[in-house]
Amino acid sequence: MLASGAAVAVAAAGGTAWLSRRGNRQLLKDAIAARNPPRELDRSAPTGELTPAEQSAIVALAEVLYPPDPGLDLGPFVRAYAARRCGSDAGYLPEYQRAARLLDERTAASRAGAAFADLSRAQRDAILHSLLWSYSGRRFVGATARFAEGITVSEDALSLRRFIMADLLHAYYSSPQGWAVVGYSHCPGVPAADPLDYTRPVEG
Amino acid sequence: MRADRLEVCIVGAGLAGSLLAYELGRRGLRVVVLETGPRFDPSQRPEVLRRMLEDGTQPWPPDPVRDAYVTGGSIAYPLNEARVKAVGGTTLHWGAIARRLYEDDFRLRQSHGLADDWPISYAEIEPYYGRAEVALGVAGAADNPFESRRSSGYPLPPFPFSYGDGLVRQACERLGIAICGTPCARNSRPYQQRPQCMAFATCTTHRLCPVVAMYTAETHATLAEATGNVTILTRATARRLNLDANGAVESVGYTRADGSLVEQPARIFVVAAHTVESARLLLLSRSSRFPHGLANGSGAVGKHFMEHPCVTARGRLKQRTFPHRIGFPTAECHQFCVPRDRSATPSFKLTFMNTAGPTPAELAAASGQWGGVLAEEIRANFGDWVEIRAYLEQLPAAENAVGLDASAKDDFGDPVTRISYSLGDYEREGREHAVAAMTRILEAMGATDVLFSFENEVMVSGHHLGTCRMGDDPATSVVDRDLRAHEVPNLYLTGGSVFVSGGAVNPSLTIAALTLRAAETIAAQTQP
Repeated sequence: MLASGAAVAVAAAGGTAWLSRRGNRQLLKDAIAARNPPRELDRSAPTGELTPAEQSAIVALAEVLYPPDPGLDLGPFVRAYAARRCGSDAGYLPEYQRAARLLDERTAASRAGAAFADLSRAQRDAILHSLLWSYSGRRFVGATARFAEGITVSEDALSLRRFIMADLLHAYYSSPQGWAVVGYSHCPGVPAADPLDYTRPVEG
Repeated sequence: MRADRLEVCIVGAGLAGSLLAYELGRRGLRVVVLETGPRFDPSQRPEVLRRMLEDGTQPWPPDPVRDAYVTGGSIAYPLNEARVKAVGGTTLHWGAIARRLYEDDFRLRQSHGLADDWPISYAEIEPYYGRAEVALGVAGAADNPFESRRSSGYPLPPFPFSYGDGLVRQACERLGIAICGTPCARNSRPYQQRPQCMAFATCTTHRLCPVVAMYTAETHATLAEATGNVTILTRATARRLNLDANGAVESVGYTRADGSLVEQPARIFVVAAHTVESARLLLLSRSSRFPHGLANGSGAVGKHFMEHPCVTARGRLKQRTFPHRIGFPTAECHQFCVPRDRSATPSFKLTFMNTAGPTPAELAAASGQWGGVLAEEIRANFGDWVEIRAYLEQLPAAENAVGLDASAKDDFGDPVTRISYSLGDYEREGREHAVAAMTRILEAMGATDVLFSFENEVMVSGHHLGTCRMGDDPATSVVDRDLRAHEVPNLYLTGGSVFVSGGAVNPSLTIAALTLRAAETIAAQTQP
């Protein structure tokens, strides 16, 4: 449910309306009903390779998703990951392609024909903010914002969040570099230099 | 097709089947083991783990047709979450905790007026516990003040407490609650030609050790074959046990991967196909002599299925616990395992998890941020969780049962398993006591944001027990004190299926001890 009392902008079918305490439930129901259920991965889709331009868009996206100093050579990491995903897991190739197209189309619409990969990091961040909500993972706030995002942004933007951003973030934050963000020198899947490391606090 | 007659045919190449095959093979008996699943290559574990970490690919997924089942009772029991059909069986993804049952666990009726007593005592099985600890390579310390008498030490030194365990210990000491180490079949130093644990930290969360420092029954499958007397056949699905005119098992009918049917005759048959499939095989093996299933004159086959239902509590501390650096628990509390009066206070065990709280990837998935903002959010919210899991004793109940359901068929056209499962008053009462104990500990630690698994949510441990229980009375049990079927002279069962009650501790060491004991009986029966 949306937070009671809060006024929330909802881009419902047919335009934007302000929801307030009273009289918003039917509008909200209409907005939800007007949307199709979130798209699932099409497991019957063929696997394959991204084009160089699509790869560049995905790498450019990852640069925005990851911390400014990710601790790894980001291009090869993302290209290799996306190649494995698109090449072996049915359903991911069309979603990666759709994401690259969405980012380029939104960029072209706002930047007179430029490709997403040609933008500065700050400009790419702004493009992403124009497509999606930004919210914390705190339980109530996150759940409410996630719900609101689900009924206000486009289906392709939702799939960008659900399949591609989630996939790229999972890849990074499951890697040793991602664990280094919280100060860990080794992580699940990587052996410890000292097997008794777990008995001591992490320094720093 | 009819195979050559051997001395022993074992159904199932999991912990019980593989260990038994080795014990019989080294005594010179010719043995064939029928395993319905494949054999995974341990050398591929690093690649399997990489895939699992990357995209969650399950290393040994159930087969939707072969492993189909239906549920009954008030809880839809998730049977396939915790069993693996392959050489090594469910030890391929177990937690490797290797605890002994308590002396008190073997006499619930005598001491507490609950359930039934085992036909054997702790004293009778105690030497086999010691041998099982050596066979599996258990690392541990005799630091559990409540443990029943031991005549031997652990073969491997213990894993020390984690940093987070140290925080738990301080709180428990203030409360007068004793905690102890967690004995586990995991190498604290090289053992059985397997390396020392290198803290890959994936054994609980991902159920896989890439270097096989954690014991799997593949070890004994390999040792069994090395005796030269044991043959393990994979993709060989036992479907019927066939009787001769005298009421003894004459052969096992099994189907190979190519669909061909084979009759495997033997002198002695052992069903060690995990708790559920062992019962199912007996139920499928109906005949004019046993119209309700082989060795089921008592009607007990399939009955008394048990678990260790779990409840979890977690909370956040004002300091870091630094979790996720080792994949298994290193501390437990057994203070509540052997209450003076179980009819008033059910038995449960507490385990302190070293995998408490979300990982960075899980925090990222829950957040709607990205970039540096997300990294800051992850840093701020990672690593200050503590988690306690209670394993509850479940009493045997006839209505918790495994049966056949002809409304669905497996890949060979046989009726699938129907598993009926509910919790009783004893387990619900145990849950309340466990929640109270965990609450005390979390409060003593100053935890906030405390969460419990929901009242109506059942967390299962995957410890499948019962269904073909031991007993002295053929009217109420399936196998005798030697694990021989009361009604069939050359049929044995071993594994979790023969448990009379389950206590609150992990069952695999008891399965191994029972199997070592049965090996002596079976070997003696084959003597001329």
